[in-house]
Amino acid sequence: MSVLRALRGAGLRGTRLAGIPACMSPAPSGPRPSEPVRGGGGTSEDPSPTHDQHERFGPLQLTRVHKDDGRELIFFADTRETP
Amino acid sequence: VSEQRFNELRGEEVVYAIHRQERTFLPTREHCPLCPTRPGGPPTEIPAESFEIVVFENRFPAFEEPHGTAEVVVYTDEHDQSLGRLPASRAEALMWVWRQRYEELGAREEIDYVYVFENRGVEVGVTLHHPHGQIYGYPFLPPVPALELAADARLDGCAVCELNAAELADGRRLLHEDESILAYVPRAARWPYEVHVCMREHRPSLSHCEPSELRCLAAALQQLVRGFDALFSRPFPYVMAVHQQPTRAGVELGGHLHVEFYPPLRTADKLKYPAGSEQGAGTFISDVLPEESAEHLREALARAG
Repeated sequence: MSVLRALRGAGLRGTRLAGIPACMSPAPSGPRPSEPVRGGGGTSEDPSPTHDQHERFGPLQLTRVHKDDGRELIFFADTRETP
Repeated sequence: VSEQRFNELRGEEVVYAIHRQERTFLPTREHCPLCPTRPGGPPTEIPAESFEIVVFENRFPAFEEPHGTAEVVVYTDEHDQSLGRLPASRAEALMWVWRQRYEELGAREEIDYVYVFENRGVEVGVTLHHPHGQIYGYPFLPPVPALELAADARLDGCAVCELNAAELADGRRLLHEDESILAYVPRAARWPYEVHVCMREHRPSLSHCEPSELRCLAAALQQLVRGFDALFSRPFPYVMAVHQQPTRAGVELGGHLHVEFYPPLRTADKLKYPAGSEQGAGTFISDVLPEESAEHLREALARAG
């Protein structure tokens, strides 16, 4: 029996990512989500900005776009870096 | 579309991704698909003139939704950079990127294990030189992390915590320690210059780390890679493997965040090949004692600064 199957067979139960303290998601700082993302655009191939989705994660600002073939691409900009 | 088959003799899954045979192979820098798209230049994978860190779904994926995922993580828009020489703030941001992907991919029902890794150097099969790593979201628990969980069960506790304590007590193989990180050549290293960079405290995953711990992890990884490069005065090839808690839905399977480096070089110009004993019997035969390679690496780390 493989280790994997043994683990499955053991039926281990719990809570995924349990016990993450509140400090694990620090309050974002820097530009607001509606502000432009540095380093995430600038060519004629850019997808329409109206399709961009901006999010925050820790010190990062994320901009999601979709390529012509449907694949997702995420730009991560560090809001702490000096342009 | 990939096909997954269970190998009964080995007790492990094998993935057939035959479309990857056509993937881009060592293009010239002018045709690097991970560089920015320059005005007037050929379009690349990244439709931007500049960027910081970018993640996208691999064009030639080993895993695809809804049966996992395969992503590329591009560290910088500078073609000739490396993990070791990135600005410290960029390396720290990369830890947050890993963490974000771990959480987002790990939340997907079908993904049991989020594996962040980097292949560096043609010696380990790199096909693109632009500094980048990859993330696989496995729809099953792969054998290596499963073995680590089995080690936890065998030791009746966290194996990495136990090994950390043993390496600290011994000290001969220790390369680096700070308030958050221990780095050492493990006592039973399989590769001549294998190094494990471990969270000092028990942190199952990147998501359990304090921001200051992520900063220390980034700094330790960079310091090690620079030390590797100083060892033989050449870019040092390696496989970098980030091991953390599996994400199988509804199950907590332990784990302790650590980063393992498997460099294939045993001298400046000789490779350690996994051959008859390693592949056919599963037993590594090494030409270098871990205590000796730790000494060499400590000297190299001192030279690298």
